[in-house]
Amino acid sequence: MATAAAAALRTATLVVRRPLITPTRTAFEQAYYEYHANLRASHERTVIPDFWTKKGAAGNTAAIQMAVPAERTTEADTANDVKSLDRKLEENLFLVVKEGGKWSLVQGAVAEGEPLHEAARRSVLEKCGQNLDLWMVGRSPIALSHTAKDNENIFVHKAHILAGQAAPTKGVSDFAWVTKSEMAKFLDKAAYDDVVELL
Amino acid sequence: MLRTVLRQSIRRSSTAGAVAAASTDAAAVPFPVPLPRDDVPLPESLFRADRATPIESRMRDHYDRTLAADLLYLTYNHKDPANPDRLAHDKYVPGLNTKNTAFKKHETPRYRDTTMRKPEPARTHSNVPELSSIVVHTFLKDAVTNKYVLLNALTQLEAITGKHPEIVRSTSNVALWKLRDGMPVGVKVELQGDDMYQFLDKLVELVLPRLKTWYGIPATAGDGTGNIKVGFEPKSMSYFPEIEQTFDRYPFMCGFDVVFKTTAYNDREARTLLSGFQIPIENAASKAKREKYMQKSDEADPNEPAWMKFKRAREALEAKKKKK
Repeated sequence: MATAAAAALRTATLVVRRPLITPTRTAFEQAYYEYHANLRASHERTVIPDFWTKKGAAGNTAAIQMAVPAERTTEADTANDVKSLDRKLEENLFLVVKEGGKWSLVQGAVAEGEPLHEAARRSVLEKCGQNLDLWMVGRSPIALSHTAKDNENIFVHKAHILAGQAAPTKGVSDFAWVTKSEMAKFLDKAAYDDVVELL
Repeated sequence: MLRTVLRQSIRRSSTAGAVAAASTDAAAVPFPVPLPRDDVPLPESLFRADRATPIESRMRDHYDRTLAADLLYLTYNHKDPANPDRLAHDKYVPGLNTKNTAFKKHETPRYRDTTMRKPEPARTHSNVPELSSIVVHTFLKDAVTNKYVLLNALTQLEAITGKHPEIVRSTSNVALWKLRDGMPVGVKVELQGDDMYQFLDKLVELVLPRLKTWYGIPATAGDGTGNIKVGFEPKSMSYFPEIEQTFDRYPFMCGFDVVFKTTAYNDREARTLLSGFQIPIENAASKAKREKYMQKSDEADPNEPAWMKFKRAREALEAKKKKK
């Protein structure tokens, strides 16, 4: 870490799209839940139909229409569109951007007297467009980067994307929403080792 | 292979008494079916009514995968607790802590007075605030004169929680209300584990959005040690799907309290945890904003459209007619 007097402050933001569906259960997990459901059902107190429906009445015989759940894999999954936010619904997706030919988290400089979390938010909106609804996770950074140069300190902040999509501007040539396992293909080794514990 | 074996070992019984009957009836299949390679049969019942049944729970998945990590970042103390310059809102100043002014006489100072408490433990990944249990509780004043009204409350609470509730008895004597020690006056049920998360899911998705006059947990709510109670009026009971479908079988709806018991150290952390489950928190600023938005001013807005002017005039006329 660089000395406070000489160092310039920079922020990096880990923008996350959280999982939108429950994780896929393994065969053992499915068997486990089914076992316990059956065990509970076999010990349940019985429902006395006459208590709940009036005598002579047919009762609620209308078929209850169960909602049909959507597919767990989307079109973005089959096409493997790394720019889409609808891909890999059961995993976290992290935003990586290509600046100056190199993939990294969204980085930005901190203005004089500006709070770190505000600088992080501002740099994401400046570089990835205003069409992003972000929620910063608190005001404190979550990590200090070890790959920073000697004359700069890079603090990492976490943010959630609630709505919108990235539209790169201002020196950013490309972007992608990637899972933890795919991150290694985009970031170089030093950058990946820096952030892997945060994912 | 494992699934078929497990499925064979459980038989769905048509009545509760079938478990006992199976052991005596030679023709019936014994419960459970022993594994083929094992001569020793499994115990008669592995079911534990006091334990929550493991259920696939999306609230639990959300906590494990997203909320716990965010809470670690949100509640982490970056300053040394022994340092007097620690975060200002965690400081307890005697006489200025307006939150805990409503101390009851029987509450011991050790519990409520935060200076007497153990110091806040350092935040790590393994002691992130978590929901430990939810207690759904009803108190019925009418039970003093007629204890059978508790039957209604018992049935309703069992319907919404899926667990058989217990009766709460009075511990004090108040002659004015004809209340005596030991009288059954309430009903409560405590939920833990996946049952708790299922109830929370129902509450957040189905009940809270339909409340017309409730906008969130107050920002000053909490007992000081990480537990938060929310009260609901009787109408809220009818928003649960189990009650809604058999609404006319109940003589009346009961109001109820929901107590969120958490492992949080203080109210702020508990509110942050509940906020993560999409329960709204309302502070003075958001309340003022909401009231301003919903305020119907008597003065006419010069920029309002013609249809609004007409509607306002029509409503005034109808109100006048109604008064007559």
